[in-house]
Amino acid sequence: MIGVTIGLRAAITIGITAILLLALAVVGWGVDHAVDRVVAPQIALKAESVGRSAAGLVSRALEAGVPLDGLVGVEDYLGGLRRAHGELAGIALLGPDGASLVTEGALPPGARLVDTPVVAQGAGRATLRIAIDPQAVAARTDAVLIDVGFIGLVALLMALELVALVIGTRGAAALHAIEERLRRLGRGRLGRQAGESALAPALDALHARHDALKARAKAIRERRALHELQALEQRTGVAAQHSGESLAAEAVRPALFLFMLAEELTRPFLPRLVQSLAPRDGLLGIDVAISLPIVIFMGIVALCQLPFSAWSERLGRRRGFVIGAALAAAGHVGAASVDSYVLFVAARSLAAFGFALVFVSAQGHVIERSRPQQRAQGLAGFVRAIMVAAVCGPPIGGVIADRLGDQTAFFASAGLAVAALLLAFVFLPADPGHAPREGGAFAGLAGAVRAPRLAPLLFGCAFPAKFLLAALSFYLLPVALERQGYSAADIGRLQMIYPIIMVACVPLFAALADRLKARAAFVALGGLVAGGGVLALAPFSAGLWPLALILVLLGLGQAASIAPQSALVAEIALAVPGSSAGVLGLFRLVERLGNAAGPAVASVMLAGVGFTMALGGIGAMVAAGAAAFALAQRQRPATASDPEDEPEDSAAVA
Amino acid sequence: MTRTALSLILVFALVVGACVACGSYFAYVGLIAAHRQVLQSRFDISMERVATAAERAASFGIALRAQTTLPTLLADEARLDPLVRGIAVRDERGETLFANAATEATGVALRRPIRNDLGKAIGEVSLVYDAAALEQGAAELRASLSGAAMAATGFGALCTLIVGAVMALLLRRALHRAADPATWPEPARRALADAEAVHAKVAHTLEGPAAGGAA
Repeated sequence: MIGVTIGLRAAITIGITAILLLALAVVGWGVDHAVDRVVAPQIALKAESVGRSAAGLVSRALEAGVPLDGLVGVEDYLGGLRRAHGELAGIALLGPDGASLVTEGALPPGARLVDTPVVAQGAGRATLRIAIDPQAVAARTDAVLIDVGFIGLVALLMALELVALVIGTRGAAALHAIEERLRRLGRGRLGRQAGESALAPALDALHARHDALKARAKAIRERRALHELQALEQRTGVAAQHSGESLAAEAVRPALFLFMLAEELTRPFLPRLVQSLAPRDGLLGIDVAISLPIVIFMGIVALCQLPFSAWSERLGRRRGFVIGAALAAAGHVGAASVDSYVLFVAARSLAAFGFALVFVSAQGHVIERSRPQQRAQGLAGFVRAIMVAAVCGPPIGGVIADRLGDQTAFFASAGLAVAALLLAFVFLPADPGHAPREGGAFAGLAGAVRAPRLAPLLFGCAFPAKFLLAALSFYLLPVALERQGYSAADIGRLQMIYPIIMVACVPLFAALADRLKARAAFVALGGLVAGGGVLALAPFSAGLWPLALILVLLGLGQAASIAPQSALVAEIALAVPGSSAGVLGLFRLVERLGNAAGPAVASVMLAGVGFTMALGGIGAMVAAGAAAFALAQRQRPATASDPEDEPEDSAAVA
Repeated sequence: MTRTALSLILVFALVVGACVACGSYFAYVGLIAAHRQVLQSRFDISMERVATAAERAASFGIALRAQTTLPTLLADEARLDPLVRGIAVRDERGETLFANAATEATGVALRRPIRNDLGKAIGEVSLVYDAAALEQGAAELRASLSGAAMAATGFGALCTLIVGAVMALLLRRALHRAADPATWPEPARRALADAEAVHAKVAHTLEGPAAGGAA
């Protein structure tokens, strides 16, 4: 039976993925059909327009008395037209007998031809023939289909997260318990799960009898019988009470996903909205004014991380999440409602306080509610929710902003934050909270600062990595593309590239770095790929495709370095007795400060030296940091920790 | 169990239907953007030609306001495409200098800056085209895509119901099998036999043969 052989949840996920892919393929077919019916004829109309324009010029020359075979510069003019309009394979000026006088490009057989008569003195004197490049029409269709592919990916990821939400409910947990019992029977194990309802009366009777016999044997101290019963328990699992899989840690995932989605919606259009609110004649230049709300948001998140983790512990994780989500929702509503720059910054600051509180509460919930052996898995789910939100949020936010307006998109964010609040309230267990451990979140921070090998890692790699990500993805990219005339939806789709690569490649590179025992090398290599890639491509960064390539290199570089980086921090933390939490806290703090500094420095550089130089400068800084880290590593014996010693705080990769 | 499974299947069908509908809407939005891009690139030719003529004259020192041949050029360009509602040249303060039609022509407006030799904007070409072209395109795209979108949404939801029902039936059958030891898997049957044998033996040891009746 499929459901039991591969697991009920896996079967549901695979089934829904297959169905969605098929359904989206049908949508893709519809899109292909629509492009053929509606968009392709527009290309022919455009060719007609080009034809009328060029024929008009030739007519004017003929009207002025220039003979058809005496026209000068026609070839250059037609060549310029063809270069400016990639859909045109060739343009030819044909004489009255149909013979070609001038041909620019090719008129391939099978290409659709558009003829425009050249009229002078009331009579047709020549024909301007344009061939539409069939490849151009196919390329246009392909571009739309690639777009649909991205959209399909977003729909699929959204569906899977929603399915995870449903699977987290009590009903699904009951089905999961049944599945677990069937699985145990298949292995010849007769144990039962705590609190499980009666599924097999024979099994329940067996357990009752076993318990009675054991109690009797104990009462009369019949050791041999007791020994036989215990041996039976060992062989068959009878009387064993399985605690079952703990879903408590997973319970936070749907709420966290919706909350992160709310924030990610704003990425593609936030710079545009801030630009419309920023004072034109203010003390700040426009570039700095655009970056300021992002910088303040990131700065608050960075600085509140440690104090809020203690506050959340005291409040209780559920209450912390709910209060944080309420603050963020209020911040989103404020951002949607105000038309003053200062009030907008204040609203974003409120959202940042909420974001920081939700983040530490969710992370604390996962760590507290998962058993040690499940913690890495729990944190991986936590990171996955954040990354999936980062994939889905920008394109959805971009479409909402383009179609319904930036303010509406902020209201949508507020709605999602409220939905996250409700989910957290319903699904997270109520906990009274407790006083944080002595020294609070700052415990061990002083010792951490002196930890050996930590400084090169933090300032050569961790800080620059987050600095580059925030500077490029959250600020420079949307600002540059918006100024080049791209829509928020285009920007949002481009912003998907980085998280997609992260989701796909982080586990791959992490496993490779562990297998090769080369974590430090992967960290340095990642920095060099990301920084060097940005530096090398900065001069060619105008337009969508070069920026997409830069994001691919950024994603690959960060994916190679991020997990080994966390693992190295954990190694260092283990080597600092009494300060391991401090090392992890310092690492998080430095990373988040990188997030805050990135847009700030990028905005100053954009205003001072322009987009290309700003991009190149930041790339150079990241590459130099990675090179410095690599040099620092060469002076130390190579270390490779046991891959089992994974950092408890893998959520830092988010 | 049946009610739980059915409600879960319904929820999954809703999730799949909503996500396919959402994907279809985003695909429609993407198509509208592609359509708009191709449509508007038609007007780039006219705007480019007017701007180039104005820039060339400006580089000879003729101020934008003094380029008196522009109205004829604007009229010619406007005639080339029936969708063009108006085309105008404005100075850097936005004041209309030349226009082939009423400057407040309604429709979708496009702009292309006119720059001097130093790259500074000295004005702009503004072209307004008939919004009906966009609306008609959007309507055609809607008509073209809605069939596929509805089919996909229905197909997705229906398939989820069917697959969910099959999985629920299989689970139910497995549950029945779990209830009856005769249909248990071989390892479980062996373990049960072992357990009953041990229980019988222990019962015999503890209280004599009468207590081991269950075996």
